[in-house]
Amino acid sequence: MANTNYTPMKASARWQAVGSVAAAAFAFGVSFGVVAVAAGFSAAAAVVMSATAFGGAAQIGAASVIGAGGGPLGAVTTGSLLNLRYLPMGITAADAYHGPWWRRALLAQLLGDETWAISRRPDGSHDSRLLLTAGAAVYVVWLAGSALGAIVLSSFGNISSWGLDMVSPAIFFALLWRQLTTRRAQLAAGSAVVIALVLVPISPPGVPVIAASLACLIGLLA
Amino acid sequence: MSVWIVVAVLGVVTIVIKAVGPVLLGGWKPPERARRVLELVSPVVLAALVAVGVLTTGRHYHPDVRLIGLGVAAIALMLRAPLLVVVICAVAATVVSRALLG
Repeated sequence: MANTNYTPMKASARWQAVGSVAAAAFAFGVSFGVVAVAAGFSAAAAVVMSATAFGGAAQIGAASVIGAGGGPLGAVTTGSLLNLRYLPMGITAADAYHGPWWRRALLAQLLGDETWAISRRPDGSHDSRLLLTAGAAVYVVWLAGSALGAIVLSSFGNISSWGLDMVSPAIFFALLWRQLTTRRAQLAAGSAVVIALVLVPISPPGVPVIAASLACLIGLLA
Repeated sequence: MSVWIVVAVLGVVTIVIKAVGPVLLGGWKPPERARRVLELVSPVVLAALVAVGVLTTGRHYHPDVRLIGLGVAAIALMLRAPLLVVVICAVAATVVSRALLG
């Protein structure tokens, strides 16, 4: 590993980074629990999804497709597309995982956007300990947050009048905001909006978002 | 029932996606063009979800007070508010607008 000229992060800075990422994940987890129950998930289904499909945008994406009347296929496809970014992220962070293949496969499940970002060093390698510590912390609070959101919310009655239909669009918008850093990303996102809106009246729920994902092919252009 | 199918299948797909890099592809560099396409998958899907979530209801165009919520979210993001604050502002603006404008 080419990290001889790298100064290790101080313990206090490490815990601060883990703490802030975990706090954000907890709040995000509560939001997922809320959205999932509003979409018709049981609290158990919401928590199991958080444990296995660990990825906020994908989980809320799948839940909102179900909530909008889309079928299971549309929900799975939308969720899978949103978790597809973990493929290149897992490849770039691959050197941070050690041990036998099953151990690497298991620890890889802790990968998340924020933990990937904070553990990345200036030379492009990853701080293995930070990646795994932050990943484990986020995983635990994500599950706790999902359970809290789903269980507390499911004990209340009618929730559609609380403006909860705005929770998932606001989360998607905030995540998108951070990703529109290049002209190419802006062009692709704009094209996706047009494709999705054109298809809404003429295709079943779930299809417009999946078809709009083809706008990623703009990446093939120079 | 269909909820559990989604939970199971999306769970398996995600576990495989996350494991592929660390288990099989350590040290492999994806071609530049493939990487660019994969990087765009997330923003395009999110953009489509926002548009459909705010401008439509079922299979109809239905722009309403959710646009106000989205505008407030944009202002919060410009002020670099954290995610939770952005969501709370958007929801609050939507609820208040709905109460005032019907």
